[in-house]
Amino acid sequence: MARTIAASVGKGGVNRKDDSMTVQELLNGVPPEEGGPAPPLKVDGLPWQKTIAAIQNFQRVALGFKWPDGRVDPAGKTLARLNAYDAPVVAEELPPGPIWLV
Amino acid sequence: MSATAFTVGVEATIAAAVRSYFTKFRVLPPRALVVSRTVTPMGPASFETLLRAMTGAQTTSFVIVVHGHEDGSGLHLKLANRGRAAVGEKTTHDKLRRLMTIAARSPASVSAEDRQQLGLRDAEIGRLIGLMQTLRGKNIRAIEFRGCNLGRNTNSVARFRAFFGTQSFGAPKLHSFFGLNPVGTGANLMRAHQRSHRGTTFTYSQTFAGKTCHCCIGVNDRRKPQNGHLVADDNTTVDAWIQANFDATATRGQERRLPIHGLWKFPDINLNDPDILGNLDPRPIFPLARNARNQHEYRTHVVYSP
Repeated sequence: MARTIAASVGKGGVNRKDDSMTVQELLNGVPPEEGGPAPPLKVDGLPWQKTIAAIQNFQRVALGFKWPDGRVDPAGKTLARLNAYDAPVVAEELPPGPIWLV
Repeated sequence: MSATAFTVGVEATIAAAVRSYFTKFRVLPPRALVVSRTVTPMGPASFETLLRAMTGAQTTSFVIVVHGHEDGSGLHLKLANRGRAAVGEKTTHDKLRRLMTIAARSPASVSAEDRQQLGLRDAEIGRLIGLMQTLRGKNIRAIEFRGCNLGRNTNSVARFRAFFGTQSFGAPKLHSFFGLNPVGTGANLMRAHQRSHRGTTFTYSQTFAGKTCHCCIGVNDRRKPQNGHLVADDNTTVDAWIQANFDATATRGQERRLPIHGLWKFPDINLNDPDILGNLDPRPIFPLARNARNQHEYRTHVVYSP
């Protein structure tokens, strides 16, 4: 089931502690090569510089934002995409990953 | 030979995949360049941005990942920067020839035709020539281009080499690809991995010590690769597959997704061949791949300027 937040998290956000922890956990579930933080974020509910930078990196890499705002909104694209990485892996399914021609 | 890899003008996801690849598999055949850094330079996606980044690099060998034209005539990069925009014509071999011709004139002069053909102003042309001369002064040892198709055109290979003044310039004559393939193991996946395929998918299997690894690649309607995954009997077989195709000493480690790179081979079709109904499936050629005669196959599809 998709995880939700009550208010915005990140740069200029409301930054409630439980929401911030949710976002930090979701970011840690994203592989680094797809925009996840490396090393993983400390899940402390404090969305300061490292968390904001991780949100921006995720928005840039996974969502293709040219100007990432570093904020996760309750009904925004960033949270929806983060939740896609949080989907439970069904046994015996291995969805293919992307291949790009250059 | 230590090298810097540059990605310019490719999407952020591709740049991330290239970085992942060269972080895990540092040695790029056939010249055995050891990639120490992968960099996406700041600035407009242009040839000038690439040249500036190369002039500032510590190494004298480079891997360049830039989209190439289908016919091998050059790069999908505009020539120069104007403020925050890339301007001018695309970087094709004839444009490089024109720049080299301008640079060789004495006294130096830029004609109206030069400006029109390059789509640049005098100052922009001057900057490109200046960067060319700086790079030639670096005595570049090797450039391995890993975008698509540049090696199809011998003029391109020769002129890019001459422009950079490098000792060696290699480019593939096939499509080049990078990807991030999920890896799975176990009997259940081996039996049922096809249910995860998306679209037309080809499965390329290799056997190691009686166990199998399937590399499955989904293609688009033009039979070009667009997705993939890797399924094996066990982790030891995944490691054997990696060592046969990418790096003789590497292992999967903790990777959930394996970065991959290869060239994409379409079969040579001779319409007069009575055996035309044979296997016409396209296939990947990974960096350490060997053909039926045990030759290093990847090497045979990278063209070098004499």
